[in-house]
Amino acid sequence: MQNGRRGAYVIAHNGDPVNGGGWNNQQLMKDCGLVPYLLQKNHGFKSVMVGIKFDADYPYLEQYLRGLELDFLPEDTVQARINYIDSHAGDMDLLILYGAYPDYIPLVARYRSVRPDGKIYLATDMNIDWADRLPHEDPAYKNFLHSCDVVAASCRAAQKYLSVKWSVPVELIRNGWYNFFGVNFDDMRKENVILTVGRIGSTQKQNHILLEAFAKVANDLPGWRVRLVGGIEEAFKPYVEKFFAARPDLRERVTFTGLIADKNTLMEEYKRAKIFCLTSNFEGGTPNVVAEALFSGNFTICSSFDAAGDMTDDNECGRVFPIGNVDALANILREVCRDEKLLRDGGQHAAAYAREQFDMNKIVARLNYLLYGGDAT
Amino acid sequence: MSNINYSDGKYILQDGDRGTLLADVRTPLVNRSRVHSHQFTEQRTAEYPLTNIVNAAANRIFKRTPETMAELVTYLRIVARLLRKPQVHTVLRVGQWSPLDESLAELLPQFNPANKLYCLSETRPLGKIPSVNFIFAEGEGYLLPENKFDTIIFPSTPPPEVLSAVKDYGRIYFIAQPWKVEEFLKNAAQIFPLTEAVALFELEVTPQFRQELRKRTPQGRLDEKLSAISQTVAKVPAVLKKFNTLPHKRKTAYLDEYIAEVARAEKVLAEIFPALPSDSVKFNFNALKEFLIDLRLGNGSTARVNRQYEILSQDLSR
Repeated sequence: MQNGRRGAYVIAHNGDPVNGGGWNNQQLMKDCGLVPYLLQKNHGFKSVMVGIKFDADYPYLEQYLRGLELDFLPEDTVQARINYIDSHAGDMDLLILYGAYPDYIPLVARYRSVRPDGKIYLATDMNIDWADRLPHEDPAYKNFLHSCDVVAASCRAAQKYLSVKWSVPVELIRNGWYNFFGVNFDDMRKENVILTVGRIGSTQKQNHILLEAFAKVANDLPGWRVRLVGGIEEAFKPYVEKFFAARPDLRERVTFTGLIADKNTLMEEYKRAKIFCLTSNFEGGTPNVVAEALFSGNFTICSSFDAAGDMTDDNECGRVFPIGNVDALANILREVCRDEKLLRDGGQHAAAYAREQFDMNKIVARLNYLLYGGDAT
Repeated sequence: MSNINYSDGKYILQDGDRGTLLADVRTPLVNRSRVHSHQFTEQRTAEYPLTNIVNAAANRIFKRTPETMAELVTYLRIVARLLRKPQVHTVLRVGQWSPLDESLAELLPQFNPANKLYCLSETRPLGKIPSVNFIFAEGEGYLLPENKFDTIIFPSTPPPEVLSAVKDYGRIYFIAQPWKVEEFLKNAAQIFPLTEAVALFELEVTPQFRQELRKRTPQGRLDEKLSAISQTVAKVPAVLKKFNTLPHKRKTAYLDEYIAEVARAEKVLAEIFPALPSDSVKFNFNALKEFLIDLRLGNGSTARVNRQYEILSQDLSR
């Protein structure tokens, strides 16, 4: 603790395929950056994100995350991380780790030896398929889990699953949303838009399912449009051409916006959509887009990945279809798009549900309480 | 080393000046079994087979060691119990086969044809031994039925699952160094000194002893922990009631204290969870804690906590 402030350090996983053992600028705005940022902003921590320098610049740091610090490791190795723990032990009151990687075992062991009084938060943020492959019965791995003060899943399904499988209590810490941009949700004018956001055309997102389902019901739903927001994968472009060649009548009704980097503009997309649709064949915990959609009062339709129940509040504000099932999605679209009351009530429920469950201020406050109880700042 | 003396139908364990009666085989009032008293005389003839058997038992022991002495004392104590009442008597021998078991196997059916000697051993004894049934251990533990045997003969201090296999008011015999034996076992036992360091323990399994024992079994420890967890959960209605009546400033401190108790109980629950029938109780418990924390942080409601309390209570009672 320095000057009465607790020190929170998030150390990036070594050898990570997404960020090469560091953090990228986009991640700073996701839960791995938001949690330390809000611990700093709302609870008086000194918060540091540690990893190799992955991006040349980190504009979000200055733009949105004032006070959050980035520290760069000289190399992407476990030893470099251990050295960092050794040299910052006195200040490292809280160690935060994302993902339940067995590679963390030596880090946690070292941290415990130099800071037996310190706290460890392990945010698993993983899907069940991935969790199933972890060596949860291995004594070293078990010991690693037991060394953590808070172990959390990011959706109810994963929490329930891990609660049975793991021998430690498993908390629910969702990937929520923080209103960096002063978005006003009172001025929403909803249109007959089905929105999806993400890396369009990636194998994971399965966007062709939405296109094909919409093609089946488009004639029954005059006035409804689909908007796909996000950079388009090259491999997906030929499919899109074929799709429009087969259904030229949908060219005006299906729009690929491309990547929208400006967050306010992106939020406008959510705000005018009545329906948010996610067709992924898997998700690693709760997708970050979920909270944005819910706050924007979107009725959510998603495939049956782990966090589907969280996304729809168990069908209170959405519907779930089996992964990869075009007909099932088409049937849902046909039903809900024609039910104005369902969409309105569901949208209102979504917004209220988001304020209660996906507000990152509340989520981080709960995490802080889990770590420090009545001594939480 | 102690001696066993025989005089006038009485077998006595002599430890220096101190003598302890092991069995009286001649006093008519002592013998309430189905066997006629006249069979117990000092005449070692074929017409008094029981006397022969009892006395012959001693002759089977060629070398006097604490272990063989213990066998003989055990044997005589069983005879004394057989004389007490004409009830069916089942004996379980655990461990290495003893020469006296042959005598025991012959003796038991004479008191009642339904009497049986069971043996839990890795090896089958040599020779012709009637009325012996074999049951086996699995791995390092004992798979024994509870409350089943009138007598168990065990080679060392018995673990709880072996003690549990003794019937109410039945006996277990084991040899041990008294200073190594737990107090609760000593308190329930009659101790027959064999040497300065070693004694035979005759422990009566009374219902009170069984209660004590249950606390020490994995199931007993589990029940105790589960009961403590249930008590913590049962406080929810009272905690919420008080929470609603407290002034705002004191609400948080009051709830902090209870949430800390809940968090401690949750850790115990995580420990015993694999042994519980419910696969949702751990999750439901965590949800209760989550809703209490939300309430504490001003983001929840007492109604939500109450609903979860009801779900969890049902789950815990399974």
